[in-house]
Amino acid sequence: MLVIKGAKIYTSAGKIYDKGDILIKNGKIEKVVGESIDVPQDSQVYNAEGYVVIPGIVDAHSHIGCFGSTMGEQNANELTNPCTAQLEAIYSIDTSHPDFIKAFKAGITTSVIAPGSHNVIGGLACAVKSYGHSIKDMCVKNPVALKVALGGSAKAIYGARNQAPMTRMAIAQIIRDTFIKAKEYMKKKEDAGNDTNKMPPYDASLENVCRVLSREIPIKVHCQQFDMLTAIRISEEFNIDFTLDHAWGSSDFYNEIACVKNLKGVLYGPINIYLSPGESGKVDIECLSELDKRGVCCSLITDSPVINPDIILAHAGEAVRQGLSVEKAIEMLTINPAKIIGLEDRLGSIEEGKDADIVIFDKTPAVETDSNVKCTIINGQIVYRA
Amino acid sequence: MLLIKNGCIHDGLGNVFENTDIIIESGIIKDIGKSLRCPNAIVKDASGKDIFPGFIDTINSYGCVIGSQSDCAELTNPINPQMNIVYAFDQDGMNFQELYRCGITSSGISPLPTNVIAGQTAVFKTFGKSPYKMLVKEKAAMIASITSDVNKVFGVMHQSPMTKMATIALLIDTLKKASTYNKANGYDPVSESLVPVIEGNIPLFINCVTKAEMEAVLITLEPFNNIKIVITGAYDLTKDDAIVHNKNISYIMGDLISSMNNPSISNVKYSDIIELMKNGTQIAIGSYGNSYTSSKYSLLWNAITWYKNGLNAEEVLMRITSVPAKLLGVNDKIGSIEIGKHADLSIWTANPIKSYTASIDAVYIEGENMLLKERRTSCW
Repeated sequence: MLVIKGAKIYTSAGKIYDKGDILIKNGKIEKVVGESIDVPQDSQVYNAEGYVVIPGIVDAHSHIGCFGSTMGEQNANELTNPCTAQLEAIYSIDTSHPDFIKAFKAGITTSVIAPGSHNVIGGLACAVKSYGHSIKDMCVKNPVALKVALGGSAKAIYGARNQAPMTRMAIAQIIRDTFIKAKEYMKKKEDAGNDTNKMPPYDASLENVCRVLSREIPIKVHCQQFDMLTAIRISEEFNIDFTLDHAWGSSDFYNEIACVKNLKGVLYGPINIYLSPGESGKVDIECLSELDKRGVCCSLITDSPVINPDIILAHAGEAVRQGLSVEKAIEMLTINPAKIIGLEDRLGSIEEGKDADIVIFDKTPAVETDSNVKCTIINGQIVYRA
Repeated sequence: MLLIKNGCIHDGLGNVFENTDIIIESGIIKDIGKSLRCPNAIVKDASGKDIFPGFIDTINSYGCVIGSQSDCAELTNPINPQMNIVYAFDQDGMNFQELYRCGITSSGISPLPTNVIAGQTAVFKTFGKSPYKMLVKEKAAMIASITSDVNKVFGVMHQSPMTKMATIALLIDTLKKASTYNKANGYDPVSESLVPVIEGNIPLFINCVTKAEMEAVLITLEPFNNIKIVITGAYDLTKDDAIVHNKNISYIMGDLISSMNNPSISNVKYSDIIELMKNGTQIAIGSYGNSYTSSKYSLLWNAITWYKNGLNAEEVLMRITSVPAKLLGVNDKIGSIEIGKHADLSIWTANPIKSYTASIDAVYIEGENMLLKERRTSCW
C-alpha cells in the first residue's frame, strides 16, 4: 500500500482538493479524500505537502518505441501498400527504447501507439503503459483504433512512385473502397452463419476494418484543415466512430466538428510546426477553448518522437496562455484522452477503483513553467522519483 | 510619439525597473524613466505588466524554407562561404510564421549547417514588407559545421568529405588559402568572403554536437587566432571540456524541444553550462539544432527549459536578447531596452518565461504594435 499525503489534488473527476490524501492498494486507487487519512500498517508514505498531484497523463497519439535512434530507423510505416489494415503497431514497439523512460519522467503513464501517417490505412493502434516488463505486461488494450491518414503524407510516398494515391481524391477513394469491401465481407460472413462452405476467404485486412464497421473501435484520422471534412463525411457515410488527430485548422470548422454525431474527440497537436503553405499552414491552439465550450472532447498529444514527451506540458501551458482554465487543460491531458480511447473506466482520473497512475509535481503544471515531475506512479508502483 | 507608462521593464541586461515609462519616437527608444511627461504622445498603460526587449532567435531559417522549397542549403560544394542568405529570404515566408506573437522581433537567418562552410547569416526583423526594410545587418556571421550531418550529405554522393578527418582537412585548407589571399593574383570568391572571418570581423558560427567535435575546433582553429569562434549546438558541452578554457569562444545552445534530429538532447548538462554562464562565458539560448525544426513557440520553450533547469529568469532573458545581439554584432541597435535602441519590445500580462498564464498584450517592432497592425496576407 502507498499513501500520498498532503498534496493539492486535481482529480479530473470534477473535484480539486486543496490538501488531500490518496490511498493506493493493489495497483488501484482505494481512496481519495480532501483530508488527512490514517496511514494503514505496512504502508509506504509519500509526503507530498506543497506538491500538486494529477492523474497520469494519457498521450493519445504517439509512436514511441517504433523508431530507432533516428527517424530513419523506423517500424511505423509499412510503405509497400497504401492500405495495410491487417498490421498492428504492437509488434513494432520496442519497450526498451529510451523514449519510454522520457515518457514516464514527463508524467505520461499511458500512450496510444499508432502506425505512422504514410499509409492511407496504416493498421491498428494500441494503448500502452510507460513502464513494465514486456509489451504484454504494458499493453492496456489492443486495438484501440484503426489508423487512417489523410493529406500529404501518403501522396508524397506513393505519388512519387507513380502509384495511387497521388491525390486526395485517391486517398478518399482508397478508404471508401476498403470500407465498402469490408461491408460486403461482413455481410457474406453473416449470411454464411455456421456454413463454412459459404464463408468468404479469410482477409486479415478486412477483418480489422470490420471491427470499425461494427463500432468496436474508431478510426484514428490524421488530418488537418479541410481534410477533416473528408473524415467527417466518411464517418457519416459508413456510420463509424472516429477521432480527428492533429486537427490543425479546427478553428475554421467549429460547427462541423461540434455537430457531427460519431466524433469521439479531437486529439490536438503538436503545435511547434514549421509553418508552410498548404497543410502545415494553420496552427490554432486557441481552438481548444472554443471546441470545449461546444462540448467537443479535446486532448493534447505529443506525436513522439516528433517532439520530446515533456513538451506536452508546454502544449497545455500554451492552451492556458490562450485562456483555457488550468483544470480544463489538465483534463485535456488525462480524462479526456482516456474517454476518447474508451479507457475511462481504468485511466484518466483519480477516483476510487481506477488504476493508480499518478503524477506528482512540485508546482502546478501548465501554469508555472518550472513545474517539475517529482514522482510518477504506474499501477501503484513508483517508477520514477526525482 | 508613444509613451508606455508604468511597466515593469526587464532590460535584457539583467536589470529590472518597476513602474517605469518608455518614450518611443520614430521607432527608437527616446527616453526611459519614472513619471515621464510627453504631452503629444499616444499613451499605452502598462501598469501591472512586464516589458521585455524583443527576443532574438540567434540562428534560424525562417523565410528561406517554404513548404518543400528550400533556399538555404547549397549542397553543390561543401565549401560555400560566398553564399549570402539575403538572396534567399522571402519576407512572406517570415511574416507567415508570426514569430512576433511569441515576442520574437529579430532572427539571424542562416544557411543550414550541412556544408563545411555554408554561407553568411543576416539579421532580419520578423515582420515587414520587404527583405531590405527588415534587414538589420548582413554578413553577421559565417555558418560552418563539422558534425556528421555534413558527412551524411556529401558521403552519400560519394564526395568528400565522407569522414570527419576530411571535413577538418577541408576546413584547414580553405582557411589557410584565405589567409594568404591576395586579390591582385586573381579573384577567388571563397577566400575573399573568408578574409573578414580570419581577421575577426565576422564571427565563425561552427556547428558541433559532440565533445570530440568541439575539441577538433579548438585544435583546428588555433593557428587562426583572430577568428571569433561561436560554437552552435554544443549539446555535449561540460565544464571540464578543454574548450571552455578558451574564454574567447562563445556558444549558442541548440534546440531542446524536438528530438527528431537531435538524439543528444538528453545529454545536456544544464548545471555545468549554467556554471559556465555564471563565470562569464557568452552563451546564447537558441532554438536551432542540426536543422530548422522550429516554430514561433520554440525559442520561448527553449528559454523555459533553461529556466526549469535552474537558470534565473533574468539570465534566461539575457540569453535570448542581449547575448544574441552581441554575438550577431547588432547590439548597437537591438537586444536591450536602452535609450537609442530600436523600439522592439513586447508587453506581457506576466513573465512568460515563468508562467503560462502570461499572455502577450502588445509587441512592437520599431515602435509599431504588430498585434494591432493590419497585416497583409499573401495568397497563402
